[in-house]
Amino acid sequence: MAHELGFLWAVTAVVWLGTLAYIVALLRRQNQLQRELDGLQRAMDDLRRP
Amino acid sequence: MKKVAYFGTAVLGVFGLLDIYFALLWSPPERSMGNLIRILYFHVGSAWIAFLAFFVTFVCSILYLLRRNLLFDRIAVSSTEIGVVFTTLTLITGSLWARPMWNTWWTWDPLLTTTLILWFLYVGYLLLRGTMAGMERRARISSVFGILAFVDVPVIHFAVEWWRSIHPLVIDDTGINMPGAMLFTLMFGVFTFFLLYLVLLYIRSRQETQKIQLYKLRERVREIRVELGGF
Repeated sequence: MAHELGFLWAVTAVVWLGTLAYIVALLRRQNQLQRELDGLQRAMDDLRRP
Repeated sequence: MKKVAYFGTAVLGVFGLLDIYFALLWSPPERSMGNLIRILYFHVGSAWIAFLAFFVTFVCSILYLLRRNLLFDRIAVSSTEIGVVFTTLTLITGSLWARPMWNTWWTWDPLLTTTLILWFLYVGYLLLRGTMAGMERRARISSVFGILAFVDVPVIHFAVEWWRSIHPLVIDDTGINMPGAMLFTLMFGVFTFFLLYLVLLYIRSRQETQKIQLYKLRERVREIRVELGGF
């Protein structure tokens, strides 16, 4: 019984913590891309300024 | 956009907690498998959503080749990445179920083997994209790959009929072999995973759009610098 529950908890952890880790990684990547976009936009505005 | 992503993630969190409650506490244990049946709710949900993700890749790949609209390519690559994540979860949860049930972590059963091949095919798809330059060329070759790789999905489905398989089936020729409470839990899990897929696809597709914006903006900055000073 305890043996079975160990596998069950392992599956639950793998699925939900794995999914959570993927979501966090996606949101972090998204924030990083947004920062890069904002930085480039600022650089372009500076270059265009007379 | 950020607000939508965070709202989606919050709604998903509620459904996720309910799914865990139904799967681990509410649904009854099965006669022969006992509590190990609960693994199935996560395993089957992951597998079905992985197949859905690859089906979306397949459809978007066809649409790209027909319409040459890069939006379809962005959805295809996003869906593939999510499909690979869910296939990975399917393989790991299957292995964790197999250890106590079959006394082995892995066996070269047709269903397992063809699913592993599927994982390799779509990891190959993602790696292949990384090696190619040129948006149009990359989209065209990826689309062809996405269509060809999908051939493995029906092979997985029919693997049980074509070859001898020891993998249990939830749905067979006689219908769904499950009591109502278990079926409800399974379907709730599949719906939760479907919501998860939609949220992930939205976030991931937006990222692809941002990447293209970034690429175009970099090119524009380079052009302006050349125009200004020639460096």
